[in-house]
Amino acid sequence: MRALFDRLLSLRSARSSGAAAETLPPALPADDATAATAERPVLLVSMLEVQPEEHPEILDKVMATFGASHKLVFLISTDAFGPFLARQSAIEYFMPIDQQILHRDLMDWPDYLAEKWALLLLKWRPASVIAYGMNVDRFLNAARAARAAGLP
Amino acid sequence: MTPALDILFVTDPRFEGGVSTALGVEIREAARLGLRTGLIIVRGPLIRRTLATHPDIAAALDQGLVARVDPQEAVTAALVLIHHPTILSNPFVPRPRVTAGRVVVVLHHPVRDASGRRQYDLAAVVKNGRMAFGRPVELAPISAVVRQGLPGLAIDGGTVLPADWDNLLDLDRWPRRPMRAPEAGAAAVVIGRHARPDPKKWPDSLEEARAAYPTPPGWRVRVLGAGDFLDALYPERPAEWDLIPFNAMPVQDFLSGLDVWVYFHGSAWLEAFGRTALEAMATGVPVILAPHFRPLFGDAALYCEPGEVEATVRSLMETPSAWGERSDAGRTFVMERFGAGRFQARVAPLIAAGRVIIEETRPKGSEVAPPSPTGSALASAAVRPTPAARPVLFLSSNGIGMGHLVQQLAIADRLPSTAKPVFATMSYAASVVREAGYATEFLPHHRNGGLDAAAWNDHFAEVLLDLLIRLRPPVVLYDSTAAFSGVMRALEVYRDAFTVWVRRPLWQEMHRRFLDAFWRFDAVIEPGELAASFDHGPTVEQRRDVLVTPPVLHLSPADRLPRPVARQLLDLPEDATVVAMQLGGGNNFPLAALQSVLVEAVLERPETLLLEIRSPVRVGPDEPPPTHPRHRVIRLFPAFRYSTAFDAAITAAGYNAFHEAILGGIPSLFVPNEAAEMDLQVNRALWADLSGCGLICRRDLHGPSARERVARLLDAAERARMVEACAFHGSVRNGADDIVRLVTDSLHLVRSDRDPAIRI
Repeated sequence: MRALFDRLLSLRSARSSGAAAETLPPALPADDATAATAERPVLLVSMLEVQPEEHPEILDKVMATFGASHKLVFLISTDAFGPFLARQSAIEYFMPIDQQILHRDLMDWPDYLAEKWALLLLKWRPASVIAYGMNVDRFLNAARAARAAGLP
Repeated sequence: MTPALDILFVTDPRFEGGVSTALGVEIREAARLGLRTGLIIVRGPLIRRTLATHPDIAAALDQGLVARVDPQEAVTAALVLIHHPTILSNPFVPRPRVTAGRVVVVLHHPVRDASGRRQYDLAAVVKNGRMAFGRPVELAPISAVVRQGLPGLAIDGGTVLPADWDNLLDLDRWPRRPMRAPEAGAAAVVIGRHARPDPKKWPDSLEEARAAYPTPPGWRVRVLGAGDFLDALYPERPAEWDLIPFNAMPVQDFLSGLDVWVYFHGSAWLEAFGRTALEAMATGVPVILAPHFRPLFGDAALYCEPGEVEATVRSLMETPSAWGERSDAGRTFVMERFGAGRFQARVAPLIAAGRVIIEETRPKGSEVAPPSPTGSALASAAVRPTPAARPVLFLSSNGIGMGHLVQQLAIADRLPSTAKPVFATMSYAASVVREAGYATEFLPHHRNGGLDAAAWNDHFAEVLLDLLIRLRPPVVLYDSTAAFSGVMRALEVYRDAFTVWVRRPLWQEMHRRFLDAFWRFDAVIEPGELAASFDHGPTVEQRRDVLVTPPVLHLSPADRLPRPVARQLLDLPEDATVVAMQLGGGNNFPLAALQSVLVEAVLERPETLLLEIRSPVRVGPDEPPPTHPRHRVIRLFPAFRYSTAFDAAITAAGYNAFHEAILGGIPSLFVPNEAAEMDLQVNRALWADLSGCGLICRRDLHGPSARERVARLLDAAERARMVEACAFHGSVRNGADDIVRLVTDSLHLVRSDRDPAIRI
């Protein structure tokens, strides 16, 4: 993967130097807003495999405790985004384990998610990571175990 | 056991003219002979526009006359028949796993045009043909014109077959037009011409064109193959020329309405063959050509200079029996020289020789399925196991909305079992595709995290690239207006996917910056837009180069539930006037105030029932339930399935809702979302209003008249008129099927449209 990133980094350099490959703007003007809370440290809250009915309570608790001091990013394994969107929270997503098993013939999802996790840490550079339910390592291990058990 | 084919056809099926038509005849004839045939689809470098597979080749595939061959599937082929040299301009990627006997490249085009300019690199064709199939390449010119331009000596081991590979015609498909009455004379004459829409295929000057296509009183010229280029070429052309776009009608029907067929082209063009002239002859229409065509068509045609056409036509029409004699001569010529029956004699020795070569070079112990005996029933599809399904990645933007995602669902649901849809979306409605059974990855839009757009693009590129190299999809469909640089970079580094940009029309001017992304996708598709005549946005200038399909619907109108069933499932009383309301867009274009007025206006009529349909994506806090007993709220997807239960609708004018309403014949009041980043929904609503298909209600301009507009919507006579107006636009085809065809044909693609060497 490292070589791949190097390749991408060279593309980033090309962009910053105004090379032709990057003539397109990155986004619409309306999308260009930088987070008003960019200066606050990021707290990454993983809620992997937590039952959706527990989400509102956890969200409210975390927001009450850390909302003023941190920018909050929630890592979830459900596509029931409603409670997070209602609170205008930043979310990141890991495909839940049952879906990974269902679609295991497509690719190695745990490996992909491990890489995605590394990229998320680069993206957000969190000051702290806290977990409700499984932490990321346990989630990935459980996903790998489920995959191994499910393979013929 | 390796499947054994008698003939493996190799072509770029997007060729619009004689190449694909000739190949279609060969495929059908091979099927009739009981040969086992396969087809490898190539994306060559010649055509940059997004074009669908030629209908003759599409029909042959659909009818099972030829089997689609995946280049990564091991097959043997006694004869590999490559149609058109330009598809070998670059090496084939991937290299086909084909054990070939004989490899023949059919040269449909001269190496140089009339002005001496090189049209393709023959040495590269020979080299790349050998590289792809591991055998010496044999060249088969389609006519003396093409043969004349070939070098006398062998080219890099490539040799030239002794006989021309004439285009063939299946006479059964070209019914003869009725004989012209001898007494008809020259008072009324229809001159026709048919050619690809290419300015080089027209005389150099308008003066010459007027002479070649004369229009004295009573005469008309009918052109199949017209296009915008004629406006530039001949701005003041005669009014008596009837212009019909290429492929706009069956050629047979076109030819049956002509008295004479005339063809003259520009001085820089060198016509390799002239298949369209043969088709006219096959139909019994006398043909007049420039003298340089005589070596091709001999006495079967008449020859003259452009200035002599009128006199030649008059003589043909006024001389007793002349028309009938020319008609007979042309059809007989085609039958004797170019009948499809000649195909067997042409390929039989090549196939036999190819089988010997394969047998002689076959490694010991390898097993090959026995070749079919000539005359056996065609079983192309049955001789091979079904190839494993390959992933197709559906990538889409959207945040609060779900329009792009639903449009992709329309395509995914229709793909054959050889494709496995996988979604990666920025839409919060990801659950919709997950619940439909598809693997779904959610990648948040940068608005979600409030991240700087440049940093978000960098991250997005890395995650998407990682997904691509693990999933290895041969096709990626990107549905979005914004061509994010993160998306573009990941696709370009990955390289191994055929990339398709599905973009709706009606862009706002502020989106122009994304127009250049056109050149970075392999294909660009515009779903058909009923309000296209109201589109003056940036994409219009690229329209001739994109594939415009009929409107794309997730569900076709015929897929909807019968009205009684829909009413029962929604628990709606039979006697109520049901108005469905689905406005959406609350976040970027607040509509609460207008919505209150509209709701009141509907409910003040005692017979109404308002069914407010909320999106499956809940982005805000829960709203309190409505208090009025005739106001119900429901979460429903896809709502269109139940829309037969509705008497009217009040809806946004997003692509999906708008086209469902019009094509589903639902009388609607359209409330356009006029937020800056949206497509120009207001023009859809305006078009509906002015065409009688619906009504418009703009938030900032029509508030005071909103009640009146609802009153019109609830008027039964008005609604009946709207239904009638909508019926005019009813279409039997769903554009999703056209996109599925393109995706299916791209799943097993060989690419030669670019040099595969890496440049650093």
